Amino acid sequence: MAVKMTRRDLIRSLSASGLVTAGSLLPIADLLAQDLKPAVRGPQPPAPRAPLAPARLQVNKVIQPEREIAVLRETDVLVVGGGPAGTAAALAARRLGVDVTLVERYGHLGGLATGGLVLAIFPLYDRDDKQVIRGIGEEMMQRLDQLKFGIVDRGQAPLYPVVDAEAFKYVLADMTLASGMHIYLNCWGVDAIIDDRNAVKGAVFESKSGRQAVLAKIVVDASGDGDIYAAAGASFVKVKDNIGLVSRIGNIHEVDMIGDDAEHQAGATGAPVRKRPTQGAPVTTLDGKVGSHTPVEGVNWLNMKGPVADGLDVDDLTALELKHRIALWKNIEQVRKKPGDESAFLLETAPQMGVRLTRLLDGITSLTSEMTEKQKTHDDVIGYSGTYANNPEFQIPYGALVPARTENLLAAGRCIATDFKVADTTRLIPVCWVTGQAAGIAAALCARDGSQPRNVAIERLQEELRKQGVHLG
Amino acid sequence: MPRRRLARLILRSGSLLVAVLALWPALPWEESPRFAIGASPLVAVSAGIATRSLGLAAGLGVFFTLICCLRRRWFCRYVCPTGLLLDGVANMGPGWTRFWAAWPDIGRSLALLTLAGALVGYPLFLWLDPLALLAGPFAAPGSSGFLSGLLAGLLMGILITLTFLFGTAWCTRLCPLGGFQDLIGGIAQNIPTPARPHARRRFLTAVTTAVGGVALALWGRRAGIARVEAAPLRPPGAITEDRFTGVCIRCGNCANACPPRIIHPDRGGAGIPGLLAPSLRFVNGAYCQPDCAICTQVCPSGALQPLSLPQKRRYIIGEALVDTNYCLTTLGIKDCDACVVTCPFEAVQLHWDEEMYVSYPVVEVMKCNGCGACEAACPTLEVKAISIWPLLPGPGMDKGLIPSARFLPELS
Ligand SMILES: Cc1cc2nc3c(=O)[nH]c(=O)nc-3n(C[C@H](O)[C@H](O)[C@H](O)COP(=O)(O)OP(=O)(O)OC[C@H]3O[C@@H](n4cnc5c(N)ncnc54)[C@H](O)[C@@H]3O)c2cc1C
Ligand code: SF4
Ligand code: SF4
Repeated sequence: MAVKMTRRDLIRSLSASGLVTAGSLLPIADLLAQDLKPAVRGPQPPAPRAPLAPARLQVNKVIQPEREIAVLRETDVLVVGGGPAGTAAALAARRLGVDVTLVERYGHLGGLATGGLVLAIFPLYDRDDKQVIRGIGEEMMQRLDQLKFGIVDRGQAPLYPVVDAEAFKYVLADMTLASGMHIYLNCWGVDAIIDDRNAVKGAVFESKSGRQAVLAKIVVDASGDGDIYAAAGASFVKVKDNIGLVSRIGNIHEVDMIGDDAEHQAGATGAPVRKRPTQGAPVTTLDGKVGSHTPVEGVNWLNMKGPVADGLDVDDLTALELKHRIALWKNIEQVRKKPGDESAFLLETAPQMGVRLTRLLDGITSLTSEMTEKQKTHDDVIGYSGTYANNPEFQIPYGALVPARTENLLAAGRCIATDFKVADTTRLIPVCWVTGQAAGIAAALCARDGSQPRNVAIERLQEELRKQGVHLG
Repeated sequence: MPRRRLARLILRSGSLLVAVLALWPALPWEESPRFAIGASPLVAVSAGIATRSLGLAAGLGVFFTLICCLRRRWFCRYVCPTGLLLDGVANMGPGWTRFWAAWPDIGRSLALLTLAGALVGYPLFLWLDPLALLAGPFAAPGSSGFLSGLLAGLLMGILITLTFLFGTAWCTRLCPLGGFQDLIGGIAQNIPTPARPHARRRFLTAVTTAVGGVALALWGRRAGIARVEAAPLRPPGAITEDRFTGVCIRCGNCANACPPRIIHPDRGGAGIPGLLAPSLRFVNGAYCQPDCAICTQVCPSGALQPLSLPQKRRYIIGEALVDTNYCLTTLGIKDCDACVVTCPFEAVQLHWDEEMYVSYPVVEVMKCNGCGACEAACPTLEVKAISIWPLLPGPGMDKGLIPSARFLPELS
């Protein structure tokens, strides 16, 4: 099979073999700009420091004195959050040639899909099993196709693909770097920057380098929690949902599951026939649950719903994360008691807590369940969600990404403008790809023309989406 | 052709046409299938006796019954569409009449057994009514699945084959509707007197048959009660299971009318008495629509009692039960809440069990009418983690045709 080599592929392979000199091509120059600075081991010479302005305790109140914040970077499009939505947004924007900065609070890209160990990718298909979510998400999966242990169950509706978290992290690092965007990891967005008209001008970040600012023409809030739009004063609905902690189990026996996996698993515990359950009967406990398969043989992922809690409350998050880890350890001890699984081990608990929904934006359009159930079509359609839970596939309007009032800002991913019921579907990984890609393109178009997200020419947005392979019906 | 025969031909052709149009259903009036079969005197009278109630559709059948009392086999001669059809078939076949020429009048015994059964709520052979048989094939194209379709038209197929080979054996010897007309004609016109030959013997045979019918019917009802736990799920408005399999005439009207196609002829899972009776299956995402009660409105026998839309909404079809051994969420296989988001009445919630450290769906009984939306949506394949089961016998569950315990309280 002939392998087509794109310009980007060429650059990547050349750079890997060290043949490309800095500055010869823009993406590489940018990539190198992110490379390490020369360093010597041991004590360092004193360097200039920003003036200190620690918080002050004044009459039992902690006051943060006014201070200037160093500008780390100026950019066209700033994407906050490197999950499925954020990576798709940054890649899509970069394809329009604008300068893109992607900031992520953790040390890897992929958000819940990698760090959260949420490895199952659905809903991708419509009721006729046709894949309706394509575009950048499909490209990511195609990259995973090429990796050993990268992804399984592709294109086999009603089964859904399952990815390997490390393979996905690798693919995302590779794709984002090759695109020539600027990335900051381990960098937590803590505030919005607004001008005197309340328009967003960038965001403030906290990292080991301290508090720094990134100025941008357009900001895409892909933090999943709407951290930036909340800080910028956009209105939203706060919601609570289940918070769990996903884990991976190693050395587990081959369970050929998904779809009828439950039956399979029950078969293994000896109850494969349909029999009348008793109302309110005791349930199975987390006593040796093994979850379902991943692309890696002998490795399963174990999902967890968890209790309803506040994903924006540090006490809740801490308490749950500790409790979940203890429970998962007890679970693996039970797993090991099963014949054949004596050497199973807890490969990892997810580095990222399984927070589902926290904030839902007030958008210029709020996508409601009446709209999705009736399969309402939208003039400003930017993509589809596949069918999920007996609900038909539905269109997603651009208006659900645009805050009702705040300017220069777009939302993408699980925190866009929908009602709580629809959010149950729009929060899923493929749909986050869709909203991310559209937000990225819209942001790039605005940055290029100096226009507002609410005024984006829908035809141009849709034309670019189609060009980038997105299915618009 | 004599004038009278012509008149009969025209009338019967007309009724065949109307019946076909009604059963198709191609008439704009959606309750018409009920009247197409309710016109049968045997159905009207036996079902009326069995359920102790006469529906609107039965009016026609009762009217025809009265005429039949005065004129011998009037229904056969002037109305019966099945008869016309079979006459045509009989003319094409070899007509091996000698096989049955000496048979006794089985149809009359069937009618008697049925009437006797009806007295105790279980009209035994009502499903052999020729109008019910005519309706069977109409359910066939509608039934999802090859086997279900085949079953739905099975009886009519047998009947046609029989007629092709043996001529008019059905009409003259076997048909319970014909036998019924002979019975009531006999009662009205020539009441047996001791003076007439064999009268005593005939009377004794009739009494024995009737007693046998009652016994058989009681057995049928007992079987229904004994089976209750394993009984299939019945469509809305179904009378209590013990009577249901007797009163249901297997016409397939309900299956044919059901828009989401969830009514399927039972393949014998509930034993012989329940064979081919309608049962619900929630496959391919299909479930019982909250704004529909059409099956209850096309049932000619009253096996499904007519429900108004507001009644239907409160009617409990069955109970949604969860088997957590299969739930993808409980097992940690997938982030599933299909049942929760699909339930039209918000009756299902995922419950986090702190002690068990798992989540599982919990159904709020007072909100759930057993519509099956959750079962249809549950993504497990063979065994659904949430599924609808018939209500079990309990206090008040054997009162009346439809116990009032089968209705949810009015929700404010
Ligand atoms: C337990 C669980 C199971 C799930 N199961 C499935 C499933 O089976 N299939 C499916 O398709 N979906 C599933 N989902 C949903 C899906 O994984 C997520 O909703 C989806 O990943 C959301 O993508 P996102 O990009 O909007 O947000 P996220 O994936 O949350 O990404 C947001 C990113 O932004 C970063 N970030 C957040 N705040 C800041 C900040 N202030 N500054 C800088 N960076 C920040 C985060 O670290 C993260 O990397 C599940 C979710 C959970 C929790
Ligand atoms: S059967 Fe299921 S979907 Fe229907 S009301 Fe009950 S819980 Fe809801
Ligand atoms: S739809 Fe089925 S698998 Fe999913 S949560 Fe409900 S019962 Fe469990």
